[in-house]
Amino acid sequence: MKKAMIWVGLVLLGLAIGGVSAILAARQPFGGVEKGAWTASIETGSDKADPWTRARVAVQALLAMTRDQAVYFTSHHDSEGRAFDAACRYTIRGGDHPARWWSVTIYDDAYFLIENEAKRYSVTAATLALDEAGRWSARIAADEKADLIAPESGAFNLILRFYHPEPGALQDPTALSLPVITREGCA
Amino acid sequence: MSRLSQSLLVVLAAALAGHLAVIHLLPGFIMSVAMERISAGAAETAARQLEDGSALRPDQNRAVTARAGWNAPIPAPRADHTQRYVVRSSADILYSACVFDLAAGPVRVTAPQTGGYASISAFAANTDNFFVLDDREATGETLSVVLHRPDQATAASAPGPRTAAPSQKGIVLVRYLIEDEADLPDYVEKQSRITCGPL
Repeated sequence: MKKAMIWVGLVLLGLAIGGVSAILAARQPFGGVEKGAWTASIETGSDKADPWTRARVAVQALLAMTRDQAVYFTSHHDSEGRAFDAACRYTIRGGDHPARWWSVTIYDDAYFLIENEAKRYSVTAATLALDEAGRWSARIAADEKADLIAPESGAFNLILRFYHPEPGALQDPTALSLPVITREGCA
Repeated sequence: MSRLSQSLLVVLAAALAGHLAVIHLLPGFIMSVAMERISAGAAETAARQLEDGSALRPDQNRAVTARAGWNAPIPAPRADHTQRYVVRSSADILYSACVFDLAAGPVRVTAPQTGGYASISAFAANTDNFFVLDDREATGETLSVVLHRPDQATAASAPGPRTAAPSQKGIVLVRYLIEDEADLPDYVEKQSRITCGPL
């Protein structure tokens, strides 16, 4: 009897370890395509996605559409690979992007919008002024005057959405010109 | 094999099984929770309106009396930091949901076009995005689709686009893109005319 209970205990331990590792895996950024600060999955919503991609999308981007409608790029770090920290300030710079419409939205560590007085959560193709070269820039910081307002402290992440991406963009996402995120300094 | 190796092997095998099981079950579980929360939220709103005497829309009546919150349009207010039903909502999209259950028959979804990006997308119980209709493809002033189970022949006689759903239950999401803030009141009005219900 005692022996059987030990085996049961070991199995339960194993199942628990396996289950926890699966949840942790599902919280890893979904990827597939990596470019600079950004990772994209072109398998969102797809019935051909592997089980791990599907689990990640379910946890992090439930109800994301397939790639002919929208491509979602996520970023958890600047273009040098340093994880975002609300104690630091960043500039994000981009140009014209191959989609009918695009936006960059900022989220907290639980993947929700971040509280701020102005109720400003994103920058979009419609809201940003372009310079003569057709380029735009936006400031990310934990202050109300920033374009993208970070949480008071800790990590945050960004989603770059392309709606109705141009067909070429889908064929080779690595050839896309994506915004560059530069860390300007930390408190 | 030593007792220790045996034990490790058992733990490893169980860990592998546990990992694979959770990975496979997670999407369906998350969808179930989302379907319950979204439909419950809708039913609660409708019930509250019933209590305080506000006029209910015909579709909200259905939401309260039928299986509350299912097969009924659920317009969401524009997302802000207080929205915590679904992760990573866009603040630039006006969302409307409909939690569908095809047990009793096909369900039709209609949404007035806005002049900008608008789409109806349908998601199966395992999170697959199995259908999208957007403003690029649809003619006329209204996006419309009928969802049905593969065996539901009545859908064959319904006019307009129709699609067989790979699961009996799922979520439909209507998206209206807000490019210009000035459009918002018009889009909110159109959102109130989105329909979702049995044929």
